[in-house]
Amino acid sequence: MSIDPFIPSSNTGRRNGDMFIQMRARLDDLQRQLATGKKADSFADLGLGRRVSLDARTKLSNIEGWNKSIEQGDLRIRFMMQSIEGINKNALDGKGDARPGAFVVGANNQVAGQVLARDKLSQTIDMLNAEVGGRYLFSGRSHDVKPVESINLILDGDGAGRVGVRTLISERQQADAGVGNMGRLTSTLAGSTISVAREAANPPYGYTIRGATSSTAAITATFGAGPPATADVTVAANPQAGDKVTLALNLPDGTIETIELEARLSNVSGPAETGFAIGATPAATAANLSASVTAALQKKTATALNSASATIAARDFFNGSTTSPPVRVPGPGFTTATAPPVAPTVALNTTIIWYKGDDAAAIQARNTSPLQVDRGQVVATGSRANEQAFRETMTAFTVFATTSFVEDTNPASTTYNPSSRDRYEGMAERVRTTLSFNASQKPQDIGMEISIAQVSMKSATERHTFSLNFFETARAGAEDANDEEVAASLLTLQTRLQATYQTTSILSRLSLVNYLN
Amino acid sequence: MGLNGVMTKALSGMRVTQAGLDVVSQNITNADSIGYIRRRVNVVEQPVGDTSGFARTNGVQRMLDRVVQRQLWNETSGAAYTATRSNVLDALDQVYGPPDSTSTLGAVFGRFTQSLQQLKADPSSNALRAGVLSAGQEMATRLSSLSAGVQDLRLEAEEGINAGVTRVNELLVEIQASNSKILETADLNSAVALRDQRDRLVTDLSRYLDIRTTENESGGLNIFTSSGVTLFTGANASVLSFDAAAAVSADQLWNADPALRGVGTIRVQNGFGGSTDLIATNSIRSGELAGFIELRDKSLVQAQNQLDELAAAMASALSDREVAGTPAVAGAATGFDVDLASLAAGNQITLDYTDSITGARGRFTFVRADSAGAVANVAASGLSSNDNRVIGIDFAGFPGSMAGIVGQINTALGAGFAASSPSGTTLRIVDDGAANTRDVNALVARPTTGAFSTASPGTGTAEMPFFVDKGAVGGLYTGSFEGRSQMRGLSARIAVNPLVAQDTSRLVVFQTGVGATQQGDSTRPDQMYDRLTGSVRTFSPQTGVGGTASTWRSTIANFTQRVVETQGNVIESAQRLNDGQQIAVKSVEARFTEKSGVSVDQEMSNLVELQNAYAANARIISAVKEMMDLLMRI
Repeated sequence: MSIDPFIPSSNTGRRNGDMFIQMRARLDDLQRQLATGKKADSFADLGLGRRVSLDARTKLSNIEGWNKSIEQGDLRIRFMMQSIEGINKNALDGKGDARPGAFVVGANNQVAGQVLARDKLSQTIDMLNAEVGGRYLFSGRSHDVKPVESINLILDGDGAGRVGVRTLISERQQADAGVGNMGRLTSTLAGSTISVAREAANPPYGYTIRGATSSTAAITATFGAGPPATADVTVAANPQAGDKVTLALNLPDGTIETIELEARLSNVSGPAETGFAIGATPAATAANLSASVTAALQKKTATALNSASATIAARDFFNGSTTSPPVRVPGPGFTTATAPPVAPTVALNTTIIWYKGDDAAAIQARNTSPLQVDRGQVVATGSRANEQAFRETMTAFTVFATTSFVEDTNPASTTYNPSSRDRYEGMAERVRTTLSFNASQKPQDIGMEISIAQVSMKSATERHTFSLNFFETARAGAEDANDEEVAASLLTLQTRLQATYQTTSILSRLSLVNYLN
Repeated sequence: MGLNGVMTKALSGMRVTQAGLDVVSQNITNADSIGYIRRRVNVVEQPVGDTSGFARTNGVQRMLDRVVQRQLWNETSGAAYTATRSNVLDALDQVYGPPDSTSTLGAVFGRFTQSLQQLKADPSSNALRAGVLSAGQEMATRLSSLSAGVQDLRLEAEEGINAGVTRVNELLVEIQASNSKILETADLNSAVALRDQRDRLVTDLSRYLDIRTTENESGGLNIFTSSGVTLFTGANASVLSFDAAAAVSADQLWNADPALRGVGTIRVQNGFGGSTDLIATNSIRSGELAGFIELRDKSLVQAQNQLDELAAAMASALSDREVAGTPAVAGAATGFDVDLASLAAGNQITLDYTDSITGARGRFTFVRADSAGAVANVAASGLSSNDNRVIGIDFAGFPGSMAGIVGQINTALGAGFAASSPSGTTLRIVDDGAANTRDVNALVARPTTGAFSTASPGTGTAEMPFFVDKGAVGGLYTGSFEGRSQMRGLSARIAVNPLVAQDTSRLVVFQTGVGATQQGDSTRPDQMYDRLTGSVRTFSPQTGVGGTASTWRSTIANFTQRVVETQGNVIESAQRLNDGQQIAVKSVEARFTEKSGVSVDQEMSNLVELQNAYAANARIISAVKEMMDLLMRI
């Protein structure tokens, strides 16, 4: 720190010097302002603009951050929307593929729609495994985990202890069919009364009797609500041809099937599962009716119940997750299983877990990827492959793809299938129902929710653009030099400096010394 | 009266003009000499009897106005003080950087929070995790470099004081020599020159200190500081001493107690063999020395405090859990229970209350101390303010016994509250119930989380030690006061936890094993971002932000801006003050010059006058000679 020593006599000269230095410094500063466009090169020199500058810069930095987040999120959402739209389209197309009356069996004992279903299942898996920059989009918070296993593993297991959905379907089908394909019902004839009831152990499989009616007074149908519900049909007198006995059944997948048996004259033949011959006595008629009930139940089991079981088993399979494996029918001995399906422990590791991602129940799928787009605004952009709409889609495709149509006319056989066409119709109907997403989440619902986030992001971006301009103006006002103003100051200063130089030079020559001789 | 008389008078006139000429030549010659005061010969008439006599010189007079000279000394001290501050703070301004630079504190903090914004949006991205890591490291490095810049300037101030003290001692010795010569000399002319020299030395001295002078009848000078400390009396020059520190860090502060002092202090020997501490007695109030002392012990310490508080706030915000108390009722009194089990030394318990009579809100902050020394350190820390009393609580006997803690807290709280321990390590504080003079609003314990994650299900917390104190054992920053305040100088030691660099997944994963944190879980980044930009924290009065007596409550983001803003204000006002002071000193100098400066024009006209007078006297002599010759020829 040095201060020039004070010389009283040459003070005037020093003051002139100081003045020149100050003006030069001001000139240099103006020149710097012109060159850099900035009023000041330090916070101290900013003066009153300091607070505005600091605040505006912080705001600008924040907005930049939000905008980057939005940009990042937007890319991700575009990819997700592509997948969701693809899945939605697949579901719609899949419904068309499973149209009724399209039973033309081809190679592999499958119809064309089934081959397409397998293909769609494979596509859906690929779309659910979509990733952006190594981040899986449908894996909840576990971005690093590929959410869905490959189609082969899902369908057929790994061949090393872990089974696929095909096995689960088969197990469930066996459990629902029961021994003799009666759908876990028993039908006994005593005198002229046929009693239809659940197996004695009342297993939670197969049919549940919903009701029994008769169109004639000759036959009484008594429904016992139970549970377990029972139906007693007593042939008090011989019915007229055309009289009908109807048995309504609940299937495990919630569908309702009816068995309608028509009394036929003894000389009219017809399949046992649709009617019975009127015998000589009511007891003979009852025996015919009893055989007819059995045949009808067996056929229903081979067609409708078969598909219902497949749907339920597939649904159960796709409900499974890493923390709670899918429920399975306890077995072997599936046809006689009496305990409800249970989930084996995780440690047993007997079933393929199709979805490996984040499945915490406490957090909603959408909230697994919150994206903060503004100080107080968070949009939900997450999704999980195991959301209901995706699961249902997978279920439908899986059911469709895994069924095969090999006829087997032995009613006691576990592969009993008297009519591939009926089985196809039963299955196609369930596939269509599943893909209709009645009253449940649809793929486009997920898309809708995510596009709401997209809209929020867009409006946030607009807001940010506005704020960005506002704060940029504020910052510029506080920090930036006005070129016109600087140029004008520069000119004025230049003129003044020149005048001062001139005057000083003239004055310096004015000394008495110069005039003495 | 004869011709001889005329001759003698003319000769005296010539002698006087010669003396005048001598002074003119002195004035001209020394026009550029430092401290030279214009001189004038006083000519008086020497009467002979009752008739007019000879002209004779009555000494050489210095054209000096004492009042202006005092003012000049005063203003010189002031100008040196403001210039010193302004110069050093200008350097500090450079340390903080230009507003549009990417290295300003605000810009670096902005990048850090921005990196967290990005990570929030995509927690599993390794690139974004690395981004947070490097932005955090940049933040820590920037704080360290700012701290180093501040401490460099403090060292500069320390060296400035040292150099100043040395120079003051030299000057005092020179003044002593000059003063004795003045007293000894009989020659008027040389006495004038010696006085000029002595005044020049005193002017020089006034640059370093604020001084007051008195002159006794014999011309001897006494110099005191304006506070009254004797620097020089007649023959004795005081000797100032300064024990400069070789290096200066944030921990090294001035203290009246030599054992606690980390930087030097100025002492002056008194007549009784003892010495006085000029800094402790606040005896130096202006001049370069005062400027350096102010910088070293106040302005720059405050700048360092701001950086340290910022560093501490960032470290604690990310690592300290906020364990809110559970409501408790004791009769009519209501309050809260909070478990103190996991508090580490330095961790805080805060009690927010309302004075139900005045409606004023207040806070008590209890700091865990593990020694009596730490309790004293808390008291001396300067963290306390009227609305946030910070009190160290000795945790001796904890966790076995809570009695001591409860006792100390009750003493600290005073009337209106009741602290107790219902069980184990739980602290209960309730208000005064029916009396209703106080309402307890919140009781929060703030234990530091030392681990990144835990395998024990459900115990992982989003808090983690992202920043560490390189100087602490184990690295954890807990705000401890054991031995010293851990916060002091933290900005120089803060670093990103090296464990984060080893495994950046720690920025996301806080639970391992059962229920492990998903890689895409944004809980931890969300919390980090919120704690840095959204949570309101308290900043002590020693930061000077929001006044020097009250606690400033704001977010860390806002505090960062305010730090830069306050420093800008301090620097700008130092510059303005200096500008003003320079103008003041200039105007005094101008007045001084008017009276005491040499004007060449004036000297030249004097010269002409003297030449004429000399010629006239010579003409008289020549006339007398002619007349004498005329007389002789008769």
